[in-house]
Order: sequence, then structure tokens, then C-alpha cells
Amino acid sequence: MALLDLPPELLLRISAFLTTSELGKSRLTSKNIEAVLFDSFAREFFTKKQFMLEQISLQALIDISNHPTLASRLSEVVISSHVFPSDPEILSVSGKAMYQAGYVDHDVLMASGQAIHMLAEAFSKLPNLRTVGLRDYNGLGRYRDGEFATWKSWGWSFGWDRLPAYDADNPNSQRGLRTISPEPVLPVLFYALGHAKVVPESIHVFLRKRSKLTQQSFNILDGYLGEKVRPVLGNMKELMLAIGNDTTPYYYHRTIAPTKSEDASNLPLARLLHRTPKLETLRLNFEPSQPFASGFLDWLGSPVSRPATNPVTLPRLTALELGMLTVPAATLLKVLSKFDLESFSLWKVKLHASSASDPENCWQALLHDLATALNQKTSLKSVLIGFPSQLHCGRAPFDIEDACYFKPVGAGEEDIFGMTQEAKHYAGPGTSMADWLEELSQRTYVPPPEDDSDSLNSEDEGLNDGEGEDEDNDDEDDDDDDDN
Amino acid sequence: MASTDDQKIILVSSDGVNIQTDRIIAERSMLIKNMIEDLGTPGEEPIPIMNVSEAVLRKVLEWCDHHKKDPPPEKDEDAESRKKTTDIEEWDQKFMQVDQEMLFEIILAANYMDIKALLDVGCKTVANMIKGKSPEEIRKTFNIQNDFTPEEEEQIRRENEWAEDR
Repeated sequence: MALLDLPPELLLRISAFLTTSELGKSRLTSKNIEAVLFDSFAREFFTKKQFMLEQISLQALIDISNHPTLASRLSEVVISSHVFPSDPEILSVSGKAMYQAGYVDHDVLMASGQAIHMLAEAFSKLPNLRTVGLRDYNGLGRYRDGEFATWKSWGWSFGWDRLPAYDADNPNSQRGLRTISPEPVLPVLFYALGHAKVVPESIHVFLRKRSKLTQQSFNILDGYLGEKVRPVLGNMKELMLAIGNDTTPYYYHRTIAPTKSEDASNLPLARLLHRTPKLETLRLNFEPSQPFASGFLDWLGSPVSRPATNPVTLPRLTALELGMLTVPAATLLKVLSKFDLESFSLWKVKLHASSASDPENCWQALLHDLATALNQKTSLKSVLIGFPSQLHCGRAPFDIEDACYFKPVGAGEEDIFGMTQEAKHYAGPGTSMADWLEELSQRTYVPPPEDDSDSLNSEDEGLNDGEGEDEDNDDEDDDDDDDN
Repeated sequence: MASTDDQKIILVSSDGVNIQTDRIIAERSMLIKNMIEDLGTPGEEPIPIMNVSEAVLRKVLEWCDHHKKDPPPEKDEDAESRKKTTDIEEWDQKFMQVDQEMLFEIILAANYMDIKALLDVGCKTVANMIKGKSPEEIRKTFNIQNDFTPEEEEQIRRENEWAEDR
């Protein structure tokens, strides 16, 4: 009886207790062991991989795409918006390391078009590429290397050990990478895909920092770029975006008319959605305090029978996920009932009471109206609502934001014990989502308004919460990472 | 319900030796626990443990005896996959100070008899024998022959680099 006599599943079980580096050393011991470990090794490290727009990282992506077995394993390529710290001096410590290794710096990589060509080369050699991602953070779930170890962009540490700030003895020391604006990165990814004539099913843009996609990111449909990009969009099934095109606070706009759907129909994002007829899943994360979202959703929800608004059809859309926005309930109702959805999720959605005569509890009214509107529809199976709130404009001097809660099933009128801010439901066969929405409507609870001085304070808290909201929003995406 | 604490049962090793033990000890093994539940007549019929020899079975039962009061194993596979500590409690460390032959036999038996906690201790013990070693030192420890060509070794080294956090 020896180590190699153990059945493969037990060797794998042992290897689960090793760090990545220890696992690598085990793979080097013999062909037999390497063969046993290979499949799970490839699945764990090469199904989904994050890279950065630096030559060393994109070169690794190309090398993997040239690998006889690993190329077919890679189904998700994530590009992060992290790049090396800027270093104008080529003979500075890290600049020298780059120069000696033969790498151009990030700006040259981008401006010369080399980044696009490297991405296109790699994309064209990945037969099972299904998802291309863009994000500004590192996902958790690298449990092999510690509870809080993250999946960083490959190559992130290059040249770091030569820098004065490097501390080899401190495992918690972090390299301060630079985060570039994601605005031009999405067009770069689309262009590279178009150039390679590769159409992944999904584009996932998850952004937690302040800098988000803008309308410039979607202005890619015309001319030289458009020719390459349009075929990619035409076959896309899943689009997840994080949009932040307007930095004006919402309350500033409340007295003027919000963006009209007619105006929104001319926006690059609206035009882009006209080019995605096969889209099945759409996730739009906005920013909580901007008027853009409500105008855009007004357009998205405008009925196909009203050609003046240039409405979009999206005939295959079955899943709509909206997050981090402020919107009138009527607009949301319009969007959710326009498409024949199988699922929708509303995450940190703030309902904007559209007039002073609106009921105090906007969510109760919306859920009731939704139950009525969806009554005849049978497709809806899955609903998630998290951290709902409502905004009362004009309760001067500032707008007041109230959180909305869900009472537990069977709780009485005054019974507010055990309330949550998340409601989730899957309607099994023979059950009705409309019934559940109606029942949920009865369970909504908005704490009664406080007097003005207290309300002022709660407004401050609301704004502070807004800072943290970005952090939480993509929790679901972390779960994706766990599957790795 | 009558207490099963002092109920005796008889196990038969693969080499045909009868071993009497307490039901509560033997039931650390989910295999035995399920067999007893299926048979419904504990103690009356000897239970064959087909793949485990007497020496290994006695060793496994020694572990089960020491751990008979442990809480039942968690079923949460998810939480389990996240915790990858290789810490082993002191008694188990001493228990595992056996030759490699016996160590692997215990792991096989724990797997066959479905004793998850013992299987984990065994696997962690082997993992700890790998930790901190170079490939050559690992080969030496487990008597493994290097059959890679230098080119193959270089290829695997590259794959390892791509997997590492760097």
C-alpha cells in the first residue's frame, strides 16, 4: 500500500488540503499523480480566469489559449480595470523590470492597439469561451490559499518584489494597483471580440467602485467600430452592465422633468439594445442618486405599439435584473409587465413617489399592481427583491428616504418582529406568482415618518449608506466565484 | 426508546476475525449505522466489513471509541468545502503516528466505512507530509519515481505559474 495505490478520489481529497503552490509541487512529482490531479486542477484554475490590460497578463492569456488542453477549459475570461502603478521613468525600479522583460507600459499597450490584437488572438483560440467579463475588484473564493484569498488578475505582482514598499515577510501587504476607467474598456472588449469574430453568450460588467460605464461605452455601433461590433451584439444572450452616466444628484432634478423616453431612445445604450434581438438576460445596475435610470426605464418599458418612442422588442428576454436605481413605481410596473419574463430581481431599488397624493407605502401599491398586471401571465417563476426603499420628494428641505421591510408570513398588522429587507420566491408548478406578489404586498412595512429634525438625520444616514451600497450590490457575483 | 449505549455488536473483518464492540462506537461508521438500521436486529447477526483487515479494523475502532461522544457529522457540504485548515487535534495526531502502509489503510477503511471525520484526519495527515517540501522531497517521502522528461516538467511548471496567485 502506497500513496499511488489510493484511488483517485482520495488523492484528490488529500490535495484539497494543499495551497496552490503545494498542489503545483505535487503535480511535479510523477506522471501518474499529475494525471490524477489534472482534471480538477484545470477546472479550479482555468474555467474562469482574470487578467489585466498589461502585456505580461495578456501574454499569459494568449499562452493559455495556445495550450493543447487548457484552451478548451477556459469558458470565462475576466478583464479587470486594475493596471500597474504609473511610472513615468523607464529606469525607475518597476519601469526597469518592465523594460528588461520587454513589456510596453499600459498606455502604449492600449494606444498602439496591441491590447486589442492580443485579446483578439486569445479569444479566437478559445473554443469554449462563453463569458467575457469586466470588473474592478477581485472575487473571493480562493479558499485553497486562505479564507479571504482572492482571485486576482494574473500577473498583478510583476516587478512588485523590486519596489521599496514590498515586504516579503508580511502576507497582508497589498500592492497598490491603479484602477483605470472602465468607460473605454468595454468597447475594447467588444472590438476585440468582433475582430476575432467570436461571440460569447454573455458579457458581465460588475463594477463596485465609483467609476462606471458611460454612454460613451455603448457608442460603438457606427462606422469602423460598428462593423465589427454589431455581429457580436446580434448573437448575445446575456448582458450585465453597470451604468453611471450622470453624476447629478437625483434631488437636484426633481423639479425639472426627468429624462423623457423620447430622449432616452436616442441614447447609445438604447440603440445598443436594438441590436441585441437574441438577448435573454439583461442586468442593469445604475447608481442610486441619478435621474438617468428612470428616463431610460421609461423608454425600455414603452410599448411596442408606440413607435414614436422607438421602442425595443427584445422578444427573447426572460430575465430582467435591475439594481441601484431611483424610479417612479409606474415606470417600473411598465417595464416589468412589458416583457414575458420568467424572472426578475430588484436590488436596492428606491421607488420615487410620483406625486404628493401617492400612498405612503409605494412598494405595497407596486406589488399589488404587479400582481394584477401579471395575473394572466404564466411565465414568471422567480422573483427577488432586496433592500427596497422609497423616496418622498419635497418633504423639505431635503428629500426623505424610507427603507421598506417585509413582515414574516402570518404577522399581524402591528407585528413588526422578524422583518427582513429581502424577499425571494420561486413559484413551483401549480402555484401562482401573482398570489405571492399580492400576499407580499400585504406584508410590506414602511416605518412611520419621523418629525423633520429626525428626518434630516436619517437623510444623512441614507447618503452614507449609499457609499456602501456599491460594495454589497454584487454579492451574487461572489457566489459565482464560489462555483469555480 | 431503549438506550443503545451499551448494546454490543459483532463485526467480521475481511480476514474472518470476529470483533465485538459497542454499537455506539461502531455507529461512527455511517456504513455500519445504515446496515444496523436496515437489518433492524442489532447484535444478533455479525456484520461483515468486507474490505478491512483485522489490524486496520481494530485501529479504526480505537479511533471511533475515542470519538464516540463527538457530535454527529455536519451535512453542510458547502461549509465544509470552504474550511481547508490542516490543523489536527493532539490525540488524532498521535493516533496517526503509524507507518505509511497503515496510514493509507486507515484512509481506505475510513472511506469505505464512511467515517468522514477520520477520513479528513487521514487526508490532512498526508497533506501535512507534503507541505513545505520540494517535488524531490515529496518523491522521497512517498517513494515516487520521477518519470517526467525535462520538457514535460517545464510545461507543468508553466501551468503551475498560471494557477498561482502572482
